[in-house]
Amino acid sequence: MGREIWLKQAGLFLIYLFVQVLFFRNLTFFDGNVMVFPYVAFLVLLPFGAMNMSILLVAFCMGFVVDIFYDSIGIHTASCVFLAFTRTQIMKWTAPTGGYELSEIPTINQMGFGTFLVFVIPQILLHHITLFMIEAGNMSFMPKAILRGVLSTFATLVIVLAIQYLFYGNVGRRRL
Amino acid sequence: MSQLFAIIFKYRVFLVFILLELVAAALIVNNNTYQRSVILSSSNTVVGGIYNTTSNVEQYFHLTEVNEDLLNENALLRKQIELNQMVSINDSVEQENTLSPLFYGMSDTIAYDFIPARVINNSVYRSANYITLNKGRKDGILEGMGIMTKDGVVGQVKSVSNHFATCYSLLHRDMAVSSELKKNGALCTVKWDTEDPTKASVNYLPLHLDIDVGDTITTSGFNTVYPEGVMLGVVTEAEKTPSERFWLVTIDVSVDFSKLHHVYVSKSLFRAEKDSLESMDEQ
Repeated sequence: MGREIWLKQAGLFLIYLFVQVLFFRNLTFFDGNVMVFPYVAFLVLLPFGAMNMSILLVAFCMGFVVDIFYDSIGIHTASCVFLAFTRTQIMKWTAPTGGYELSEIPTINQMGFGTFLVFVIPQILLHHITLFMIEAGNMSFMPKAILRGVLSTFATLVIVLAIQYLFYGNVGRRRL
Repeated sequence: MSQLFAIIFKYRVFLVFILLELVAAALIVNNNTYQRSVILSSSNTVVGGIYNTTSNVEQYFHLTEVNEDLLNENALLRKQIELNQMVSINDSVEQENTLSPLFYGMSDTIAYDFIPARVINNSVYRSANYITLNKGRKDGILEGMGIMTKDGVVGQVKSVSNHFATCYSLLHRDMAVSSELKKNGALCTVKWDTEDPTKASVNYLPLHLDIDVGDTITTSGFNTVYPEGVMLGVVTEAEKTPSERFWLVTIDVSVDFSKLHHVYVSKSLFRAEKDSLESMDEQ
């Protein structure tokens, strides 16, 4: 890991965090049942070469800071740490035959559309469902919490894909 | 021994994962203890400052609405001044009925002071909603004070820093407001367990009372959080079930929480005195 990559990731951390708490926090659909948390994309899209241990710690920090902004201490922290742990498992399924290029970051460009979805959706889904289930805190609200998690996953996914197409450019050409 | 270390080393990621989740779980479970700590809530200087800056920009978009609200409130207050003057001229009018809920507490002596504040952060759609205000300890706000608008009860102060205050919204599953049925003064408790930001439920209304749709629920004034008679809502559903000892009552919350801009923090001037007297009784 070069120093440049770490600096870039630190910058991304702040950007994702502030865009989340200042903008996406206010964005809800269907009477607040569907929320978007694109900040998880930061954790999902960390470089392949990042060590599992550091991903866990970064996820803990990210969740903790988001929690302070959301006044929901612990909830995002738990979900983010869970995401970070599952990420290492999911990376094994989606690894190409030669293994990952460790200095690369996951992009549609690099992985292809299908693999990218397989890589991203389970992580976001697990994070969102955990989040809504902890927040509901009551068994009678669980089915609703799961539904909210699933619907919010779609909303977050749309934004994550939009970020890919806008900032990690020129997707179509590479794939063909 | 070296084998043990080897195993720990092999599963170190999993162990750290478990450790971090336990920390998070402890944070969630002990939530109520940590609520007191300002640093972990949105009233800490950095987060409060950021919210204050964004709301400084945002507030311009609501100016028309806010002005209209203030105008209505002014008209209401003017009417009360007129009525009060009539009272002092004509003693036969009962004074209490003429005062607005906001100023019931003032009927004898001034029992409440009101600190105006601006809402800089608010949420509606979670099961535990919080509000951040742009005033704090330096403006005289303390933990446990009530928050209201001219429409009714908004919430209660949770933690205070020097310049900001984080508050429980009425839309918080742990909030319970001591309240009464306006028409006969029957005591009850308003809780928000509906997950719907426009509805709340009323507990502990005994079955022998008559409750109709359209009855008003107001604060009781028994604790020193809100003055007596602040609006909470209007009954929309009242149901008797044989298995329960109390009515199942749902009210329409009188405050529109999605449009919360300016609020008053109610500061009881006799809180310390009343609390110390009541705690003396217990001993």
